[in-house]
Amino acid sequence: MSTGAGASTGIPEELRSLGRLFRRTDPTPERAISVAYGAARRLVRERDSVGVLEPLGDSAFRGRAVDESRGAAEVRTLSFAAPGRLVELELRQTRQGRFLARGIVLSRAGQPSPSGTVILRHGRGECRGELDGCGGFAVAGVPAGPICLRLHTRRADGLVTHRTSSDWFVC
Amino acid sequence: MTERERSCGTAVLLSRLAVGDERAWRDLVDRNSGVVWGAVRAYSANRADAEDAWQATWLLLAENLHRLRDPEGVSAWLVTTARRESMRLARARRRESPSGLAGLLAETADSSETPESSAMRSLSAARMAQAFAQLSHRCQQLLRIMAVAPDASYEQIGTALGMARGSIGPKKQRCLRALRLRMLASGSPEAVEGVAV
Repeated sequence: MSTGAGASTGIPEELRSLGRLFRRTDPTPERAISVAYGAARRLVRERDSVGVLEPLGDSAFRGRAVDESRGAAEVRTLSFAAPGRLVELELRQTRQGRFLARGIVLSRAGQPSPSGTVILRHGRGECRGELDGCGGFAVAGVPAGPICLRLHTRRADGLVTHRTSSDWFVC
Repeated sequence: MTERERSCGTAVLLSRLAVGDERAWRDLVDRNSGVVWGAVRAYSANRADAEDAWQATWLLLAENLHRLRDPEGVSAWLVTTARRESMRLARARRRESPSGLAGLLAETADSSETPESSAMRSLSAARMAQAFAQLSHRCQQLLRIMAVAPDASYEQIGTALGMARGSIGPKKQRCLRALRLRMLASGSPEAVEGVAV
């Protein structure tokens, strides 16, 4: 029986065969590589202009979250903190590959945020929703895949006062 | 490539990135794409989930690169993030454990080949896929990463899989031995000489 070691590289022959098999049947998708190439150009330019929405919790790390009022419908809840703000985000799958994002933005004292916009950025663009008078929001049509949550709060005169953004995560 | 060569190369890339050299970013992606894809595939149930975790990993690196000052830490950061994002996504989507190669072959069947060449290729591939699928989950993860990223260091692989570096060599030998035995049991004498897949 062969020892299975590749003569030239020291890589066992079985691993080389597996490598050929994986490269043929399961290569890194070209479109994924394109996204990776484009990531720096798209994101680095904005990183210094926004604050950070720090993740506080994610039900995906706590186990299954089930909305009992709707039977087996799955809901993922996440929470984030920014200076003076708390954001609760709920992601509910509505149809294949799409999500409804709902939630609320509160001050640290539990008061609604005055006004602002919630933005869910994704690989092909973004979806937006305005905060209502209670700090609630709903954003429909969020595609599955990597997203990041951004919050722009405004003063009464409409001027954006704070921009905050979470890290990217996958929904 | 040695660890020292790898980290020196990454240090140069980071310094080029600091002055806005976009080519350096592509080089960074190229240098680490194999091990990152291996890591997300090892922890993802299907290619679609792996692709999502892959994209999130690179988007996260782009946003956090300015915080990573240690060139030696970039690769470890990437594979750790790839694993974490894959696991988080699997929980969020309530996926089962990663599928074996058999499922993958069905998922990516190539309809462009002639029936004869397809049959020969499929036979060899199916034997290897069957043997691979019979391995433990941990062996599948380890061999998958080593197969798609042969230049990855034990340090990178250990980080990607959450394994102690010192355990990787012995584990690799046990997994390869198990793969050979299963291929022999399936009537594939060519397995130990190399499989034309």
